[in-house]
Amino acid sequence: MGFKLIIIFVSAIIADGLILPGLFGFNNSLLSLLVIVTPVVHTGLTNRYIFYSLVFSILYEWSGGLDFGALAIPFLITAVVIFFIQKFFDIKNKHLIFSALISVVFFYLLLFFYNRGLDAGYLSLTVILTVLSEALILVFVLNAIFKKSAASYV
Amino acid sequence: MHYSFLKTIIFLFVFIIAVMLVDRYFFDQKLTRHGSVLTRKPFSYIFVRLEDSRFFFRKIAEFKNTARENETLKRENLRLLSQLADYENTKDENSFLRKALNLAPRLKGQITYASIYQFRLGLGGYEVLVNKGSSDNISVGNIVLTEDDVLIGRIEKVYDKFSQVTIVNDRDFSVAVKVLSSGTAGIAKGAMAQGMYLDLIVSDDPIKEGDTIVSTGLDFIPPSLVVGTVSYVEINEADVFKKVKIRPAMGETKIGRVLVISHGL
Repeated sequence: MGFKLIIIFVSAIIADGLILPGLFGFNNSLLSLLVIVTPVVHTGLTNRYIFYSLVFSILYEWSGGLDFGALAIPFLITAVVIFFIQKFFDIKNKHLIFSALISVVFFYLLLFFYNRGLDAGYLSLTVILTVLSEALILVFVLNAIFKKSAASYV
Repeated sequence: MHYSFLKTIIFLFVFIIAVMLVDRYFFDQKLTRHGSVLTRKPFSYIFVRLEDSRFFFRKIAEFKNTARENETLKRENLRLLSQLADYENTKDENSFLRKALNLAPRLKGQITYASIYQFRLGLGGYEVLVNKGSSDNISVGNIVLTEDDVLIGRIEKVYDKFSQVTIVNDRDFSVAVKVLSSGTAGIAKGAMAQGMYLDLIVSDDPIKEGDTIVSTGLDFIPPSLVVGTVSYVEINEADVFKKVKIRPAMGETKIGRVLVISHGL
């Protein structure tokens, strides 16, 4: 499972930074950042997925020349918020669209912690639609992988 | 379970902060820059190749209009030839006058050829990296443009082997510009996915959709660089200023290979 997640993350990094802008001229993809948040929301907050997402945050920083901890610290803060919200609400919903929407909400929370505020540029229709559609795709992919993985244990 | 999770989170916080400190004070942040240094050569090669493919496929898609376009272009070509003769004459005159008045050329300073090898939207704006850094004499504030004089952005952070660029779409980017045909001037500011907004255009200023926007050279950016085209103009009776949107020209040209110019005024 972890190996598949790593493959998804590396593919997302390459798609975001190279393929989509280079081949399609599309510069607004946020897929790799969604791969950091979505598994934690979709599969539930476990030590294992926190660890994967943290490693992805560090790899993201590492590949983009960001300072160490620039993304990892906001991610851990977001994880703490998810933890407390999960105590009151069941956000690990079975419905895929709901999962995608919740992922988008926590993505914006991560954005909020990173920038210490919300930049209006991320609230434009283009970015919101991009994040939503990418979150949906990601949730579908994760769902397919998780179902297959669960079936293989039976 | 809850206790164990919080324990893990606290441990991870402490771990990350410890590595941050070690990286900052013992390795001069070289640990975290290593990934970008490793990927800059293969990624810049791939980026340029992918971009070449995009423009190749775009040309194929436009192939059916070629005959009609050819006719238009022939006529356009004749008109441009006469303009070129005029331009050559003006350029000679300009060069002569610059020498006579002892003025520097338009793009003064050192020019470095570089390649973009990462272009993505991150959490703090666009994360654009070029494969040249302080070891190639790149410094903060250098201007990044294409060979066709299209403005891409400004160098924001410089590392040993690579640099970070603030592109024209970024919200931190602004440039003094004018409309090419009318001379209407204002300040163009980045608006991320929306392109750019042109500020300080009063309702009487002549400006229309399709107008070309170029830099004026009144700030730290050299003059006559193509910034973009006007994509939307909104006139509000109650407002003194017009709402003008610009589509950056950067999106229409190849940006894989770029020029980095040290302060060129």
